[in-house]
Amino acid sequence: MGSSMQTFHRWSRRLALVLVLSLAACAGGQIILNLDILSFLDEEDLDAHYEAEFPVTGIWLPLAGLVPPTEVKLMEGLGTASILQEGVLTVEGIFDNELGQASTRIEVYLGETAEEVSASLQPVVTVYADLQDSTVTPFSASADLDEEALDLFGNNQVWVRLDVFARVDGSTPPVQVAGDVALTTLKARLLSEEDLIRK
Amino acid sequence: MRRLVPVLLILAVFLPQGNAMAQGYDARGMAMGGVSLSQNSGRLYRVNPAYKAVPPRVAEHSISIPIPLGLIQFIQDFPELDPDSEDFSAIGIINFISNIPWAWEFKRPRDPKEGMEIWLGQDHLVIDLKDAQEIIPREGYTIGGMGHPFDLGFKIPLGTAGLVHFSLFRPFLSTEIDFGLNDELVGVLADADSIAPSTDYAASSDALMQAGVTSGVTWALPLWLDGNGGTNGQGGGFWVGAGFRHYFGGGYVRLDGDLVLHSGDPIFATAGADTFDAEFHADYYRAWPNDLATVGYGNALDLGAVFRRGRLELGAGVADIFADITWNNTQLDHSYLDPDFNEIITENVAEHFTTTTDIPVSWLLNVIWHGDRLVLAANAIDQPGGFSMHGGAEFWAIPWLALRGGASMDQRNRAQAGWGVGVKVGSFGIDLGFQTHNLGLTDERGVSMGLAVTLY
Repeated sequence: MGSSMQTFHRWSRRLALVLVLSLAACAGGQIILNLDILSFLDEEDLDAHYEAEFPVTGIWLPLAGLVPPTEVKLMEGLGTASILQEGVLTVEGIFDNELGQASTRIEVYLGETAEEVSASLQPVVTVYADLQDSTVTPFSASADLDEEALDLFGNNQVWVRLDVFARVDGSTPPVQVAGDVALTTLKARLLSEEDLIRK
Repeated sequence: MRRLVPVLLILAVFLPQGNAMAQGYDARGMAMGGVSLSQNSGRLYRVNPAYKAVPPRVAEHSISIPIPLGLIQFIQDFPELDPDSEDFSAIGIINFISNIPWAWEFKRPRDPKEGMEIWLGQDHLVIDLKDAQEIIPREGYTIGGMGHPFDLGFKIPLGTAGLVHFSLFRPFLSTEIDFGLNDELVGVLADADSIAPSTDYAASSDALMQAGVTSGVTWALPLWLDGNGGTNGQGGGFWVGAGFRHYFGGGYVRLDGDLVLHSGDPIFATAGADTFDAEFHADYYRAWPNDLATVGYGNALDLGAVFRRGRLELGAGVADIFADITWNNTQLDHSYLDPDFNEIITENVAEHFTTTTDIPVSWLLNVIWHGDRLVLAANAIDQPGGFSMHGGAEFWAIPWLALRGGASMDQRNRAQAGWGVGVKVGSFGIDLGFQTHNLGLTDERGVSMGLAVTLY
């Protein structure tokens, strides 16, 4: 090989896709992308301590801010190279509740921009968990992505936000709730039946 | 066209391999593992010039006419070329084209169809190509071939001094492709290893294609003769041959390229950062004559010898010794990846300068034992495209029925088998031969079936 290689030049992430798919694209069949969204989030956003006093019962109130609007990079070119037809978003975590009883609701939002995901009122996944005194409570849920959410993964990046709400019922207010919550899994599994070479 | 680029790229890499490894059209030879049995065989004739003077054995006095069953299949099973069709498979097309349409493809290798799965995180990227991992060249590929579609010439018998053969017009097409991936990239593509941070992933290719015609003269003669030269299994002889050939180069292209990707740390960094640093360089040489003075030129020497004693025959030949071609009208372009614009830039570096290309040497060793009812044959050949060995047997169980079998080690070091039968009624015969092969891109073997009518 006559060419010398002296320096590396920055190039687009698209090259990763080109390199892989130029060898694999000829094969037919399903393409599955398992996206570990959690790995792109700041570690300090993955767990939080909460201490809240609920003045009323029967009303959902914010409990903890887990994941603020955060950008997740995707493989550039994926969106143009394949048409995503199915997708599942999975969220898993754990409450280590020290005090109080409450129902919790964890919501995951996706958006194309920071503004969009901040303003979104339609969670992609919602999971509920009931907290007891001095109890560790895991939570887990998966939901199919609708067409609008799938389109987001066709971009070069997607924005994600995760909120935690709580509600107390049956007790006499005010009710004290305290503990820790941690996010352990946030992933997407995206499927395309298309042969990439046709794109 | 953009949709077919990957197909064309892979065709460019793998098609010459298929041609180079193409099995014989001769049903008898296929059934015997691909051995060369008589001097009418292209391989013996091409590589060993002594065979031009060796009289054929009486038992080999026959004309075999291959029946092109594969053409029927070619028409029936023509692959889907529309990329938008559900039946479209690029690897299927490559498998199809790389197999000989002359022989019936009794069993085709399956096409990879399991798709692929990717695991992507900020610190990991795993790509599982599933059954398409088989097409990743772990050891790289050195593939190619030398083809001569025909040879126009004549020979002048010289009695006891043998004969002189003049080759007036013999077209040639020579291809050589070296393609390689570094260990890290092989691990990613063939073993689904995760891409590691701060690691180089490299691919390189050096492809050369040259074409033209040759003219030359060969002198082959017996140095020792006993009886009729062993044509009937008695007596024998020792023949030697030497040939001189002049190459007239009609043109060549050579592409020498390197691609290196350097992964980031972490692989997917912050927003806006690139995942890979990349460097791409390619030198593109090409030459073709503008006039007679710029026709490529070169010379080659062939040497060979054949010894026959009774039922035993041994042959050794070397072709294209010292062969190379000098081109006086070469043009060189250099392509590289412009980091500022993310574009591949091509610049003309030089024109009208002189380059020299090699023609690889071929050699062949063969042995044949020709009994009354049993024929044993074996040969080893190294030619553009790689080294291979073949061995086979033919047994006439009854006067009208021959049973044949054989084995070979192909140019990719994979064991292959052959089997078949021959039926002879009077001066008319039919040969049926099967031979396994790995002419497709996957590891799965296919089976070709050859049919021939033989006139004794």
